[in-house]
Amino acid sequence: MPELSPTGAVDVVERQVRRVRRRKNLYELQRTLYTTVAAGAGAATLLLPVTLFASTTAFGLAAACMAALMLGVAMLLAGALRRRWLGRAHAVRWVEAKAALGGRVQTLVEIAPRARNAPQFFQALLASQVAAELDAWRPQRLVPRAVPRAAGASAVVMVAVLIVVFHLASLALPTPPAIGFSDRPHGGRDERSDGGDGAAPGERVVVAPGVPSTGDTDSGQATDDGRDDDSRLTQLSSAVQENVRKQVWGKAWERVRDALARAGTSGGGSRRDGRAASEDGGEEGVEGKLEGTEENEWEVARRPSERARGAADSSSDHTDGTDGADGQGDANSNADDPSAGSSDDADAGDAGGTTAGNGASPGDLFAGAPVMPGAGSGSFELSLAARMRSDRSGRKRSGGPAPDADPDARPALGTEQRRETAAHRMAVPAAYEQVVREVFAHRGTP
Amino acid sequence: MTPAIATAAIADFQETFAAIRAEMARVVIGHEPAIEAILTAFFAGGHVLIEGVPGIGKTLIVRSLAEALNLTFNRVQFTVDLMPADITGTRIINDRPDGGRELVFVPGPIFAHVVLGDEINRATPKTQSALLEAMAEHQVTVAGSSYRLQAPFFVLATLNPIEMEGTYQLPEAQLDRFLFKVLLEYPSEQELTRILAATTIADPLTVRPVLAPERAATRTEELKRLVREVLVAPHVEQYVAGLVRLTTPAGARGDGEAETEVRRYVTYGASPRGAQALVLGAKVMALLDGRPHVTYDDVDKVAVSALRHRLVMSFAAEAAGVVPAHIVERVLIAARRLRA
Repeated sequence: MPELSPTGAVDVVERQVRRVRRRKNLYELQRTLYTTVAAGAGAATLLLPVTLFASTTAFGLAAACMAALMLGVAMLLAGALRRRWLGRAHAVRWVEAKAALGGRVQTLVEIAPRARNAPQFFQALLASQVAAELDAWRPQRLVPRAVPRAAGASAVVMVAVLIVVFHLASLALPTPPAIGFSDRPHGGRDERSDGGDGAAPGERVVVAPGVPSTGDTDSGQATDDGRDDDSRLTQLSSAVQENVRKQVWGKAWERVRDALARAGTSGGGSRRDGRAASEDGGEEGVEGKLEGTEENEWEVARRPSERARGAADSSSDHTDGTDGADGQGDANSNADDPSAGSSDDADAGDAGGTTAGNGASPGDLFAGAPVMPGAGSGSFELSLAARMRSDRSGRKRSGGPAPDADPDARPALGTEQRRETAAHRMAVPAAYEQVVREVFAHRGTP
Repeated sequence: MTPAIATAAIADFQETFAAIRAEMARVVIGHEPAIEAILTAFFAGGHVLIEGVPGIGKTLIVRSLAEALNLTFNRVQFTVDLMPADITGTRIINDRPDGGRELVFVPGPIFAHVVLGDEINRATPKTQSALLEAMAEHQVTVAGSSYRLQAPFFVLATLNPIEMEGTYQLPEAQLDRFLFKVLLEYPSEQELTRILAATTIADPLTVRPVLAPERAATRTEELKRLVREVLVAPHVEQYVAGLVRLTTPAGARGDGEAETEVRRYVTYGASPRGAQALVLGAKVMALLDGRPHVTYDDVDKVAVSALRHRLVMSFAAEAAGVVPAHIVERVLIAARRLRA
């Protein structure tokens, strides 16, 4: 290195100090950034399963804990960055300490202002010594790595883990409940799962005649829901949870959610999901009824032998201009008093009308109350007249043999009935509502 | 000034210092740290207070120094009846050849390059104070007339720590004028054996002058000026200031061990003159290390010698047997925090 004047040496030193400072600060910034990314990815990895599978309460607690943890981590990282950040005033001192230069660089820089006024005897010697040592403290030597490997690797690993967990979570879509039919009142429980075979009762829905609910669980849930409704935080966490599920599971989750909502099962989280979805998309139809009064909660499915007579009731109701709710009230009364129902059914059978049991009346029984377009997703819902209910006490899948079906009282109806196809919900303009109802309505035997 | 000249100057200083030290070490057996401290104070332009038991070699060290430097040397034995004029000199009536009379100033023993004040604490404070002006301003004033002392002027005073009867404690003002206080430890058995062998022979060893007599004073002044040229960065000055502040009860505000002990055991801390002593001593240390600038370590090396006699200890310290050097070492440990 050519011999420098003291002033020139000071300039060179100050430039190199600036380069060291820039490299060091960039390194520290990267380290903080990567550590933050790693911490965030780790938190997301831990929170994702909770978001997808846990109840809203559990998710809310976990999210709050994780937020507090992340806040603490952020504060720690900010503090560490502040301590390691190389300010202009401390840069020379840091270089001195790091490179063990014996105070030469710091002395040369600090005495420069004095030396301008009064030349120092030893300043030239000091400048030459510092100039000879420039290579010993060049930025690449003091800060050997441009990228913090450990922090970077941890960030990559944590993000990779998050991606894997995300992928696995997307595969772990909850299965919609299987729907079975029974003509006997089961109190909302699947007999096969109650038989102690270890099956999962919560994922099987039995369409069966209802019984009045004693409803401890339901009333408790209603209380919980009432409290939750008051909590904006709960609504927020529920909305977040639902949004994440949509992001992870997409359309598949919407089908499962709808099925769960119809079944009114799969635990508090799904129930709230359904409500969140209804808030989000205006799907008040099914879930709103399930969350309604005790009588509505325990909807009744008619026996096949009673469907024809029930149809007559429905036909008469329809003729009298009564709505679907009245029909449901009749059905409830029938369930409460089978004998009374039989007499009524006999009258209805004489009338020869069709009703909800076979879907002969599309306007009131099959399709239910129409949902006006523009309310939410722009679709209306073809709800089932027979309400579905599943066991809410467990999550195990039901197993074992299916129960024996009741003998068909009117086998001729089965041969003449059109093959049932799934009526998927879809957006239909309001102008076509009547047409769609006509098309999808089951026509009874004239 | 080119780097080569500066490097040569540093090398010259190192060689001269080493030569004087080696020459003194030929005669003074042991006491290497004391010799180095005395030489450091000499080149820093200060004075030294030497404390040691009788017969340990205090006078020998001072005389050896003067002989090695080839400078003039005077010794003053302080006694209780010693008067200030016995040190500074006095005016006498002189008969002129023409029959007239005149007042003529007769210089005292203080008019020498190296002055040894032996057992300085045996003189009265009035006599001790006769040294004040000489030590601080390198001049004496007699009967209204000031007389400049020759440069270099170097005072070494000795204290006898065991014979305290009939002694007068040195006033703080005078203590503060000594750059260093050096303690002479009792020699080890090996050193004692060497002393016996070297001093009981027919022709004992004598000191050979290192500097030529006609240039000795000039050379030492040049070297002392070189010391003053050593660079001291502001961060070192701040460290020295913080160190000195920590020795005062008002400055020791922290809850550390050192601060607590200072508040408990120290009545008065070091003065700004103590800070000057630290910097000057550190400059010599830097040159001895071949550096043109002072570092923290240079300050630390001279801290005990420069500060121990400047602390006025409390009764609690005397009762607890706490010596000033202990406080200074504690303060040094605490002051290292100032570096961060």
